[in-house]
Amino acid sequence: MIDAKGNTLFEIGNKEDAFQPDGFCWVHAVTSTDRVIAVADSDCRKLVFFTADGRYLGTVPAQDLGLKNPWMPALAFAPDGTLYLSGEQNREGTPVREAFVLRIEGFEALK
Amino acid sequence: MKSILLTILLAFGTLITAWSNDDVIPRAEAIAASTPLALKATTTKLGEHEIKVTPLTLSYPIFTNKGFKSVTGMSIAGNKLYLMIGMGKAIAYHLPTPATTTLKLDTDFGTNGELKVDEMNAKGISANAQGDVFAHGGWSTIRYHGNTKTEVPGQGALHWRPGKNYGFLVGNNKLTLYANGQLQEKSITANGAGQIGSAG
Repeated sequence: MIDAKGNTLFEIGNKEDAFQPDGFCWVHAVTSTDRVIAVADSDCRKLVFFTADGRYLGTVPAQDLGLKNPWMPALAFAPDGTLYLSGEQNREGTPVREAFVLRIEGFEALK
Repeated sequence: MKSILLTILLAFGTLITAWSNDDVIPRAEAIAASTPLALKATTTKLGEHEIKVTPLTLSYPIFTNKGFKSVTGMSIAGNKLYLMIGMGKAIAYHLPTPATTTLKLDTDFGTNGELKVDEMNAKGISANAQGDVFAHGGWSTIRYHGNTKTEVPGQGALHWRPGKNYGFLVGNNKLTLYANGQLQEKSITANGAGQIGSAG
């Protein structure tokens, strides 16, 4: 995070170990509100959350979202604070990849 | 030597043009023979907090064959959800109300809900409530508004700030303000934070 003069305010992510819950194998999408920063890491199949001032909130593995080996390159907060995640995964046992969109709610309680 | 180079170029060109819709998009019979994802609504924990996950039904489903991306970018503006999909196309859906779960295709967007963007490599999309849609690849951004399109000057990806009347062109390790339909002189360059990149 940088300020309007380009100075670093803070950094997010575990720089020592990408495989830790707060680490990033790769940042494929990032979005934020004035309270929450959400990061989609498709390589490690997880969403990672931070407060707007950089405090680690938690990690949600893709399988906890009901997904199975998905690709998750698109993430966006709506103005009402609802998070949308889009990506794709294979239909079981086939090469057919189907796109999905998930609506994720409950961020208003985060402080 | 020239003939060898020509042969290589022709072979490369053939390889590129071989990626047609028929290769990227599964045949109807393959889709029909496969089992839909049937994702289920669930709740899960984010730290101590509970979050609710609801899969939405796409009235206009998107399929690709293995090896090709179905979705590469998403943006939400107003009551619309925009997706950048394969083969240089963008689509728009109406956002469902909290009580409903279907994303209905916005048939007023582009041609019957599908906008063909000029750049085949466009992967990202950003939109605003004024109806501007910015499609960006690695180095350039094109702005679409109704039937008009204009190239955003400068190199980088244009990201509109949700709910605001401005955005930033992200590229060359700096953020440049974009407002009133054009790049402004104000920009921010990172001081020692590493490269400013663009994700999503």
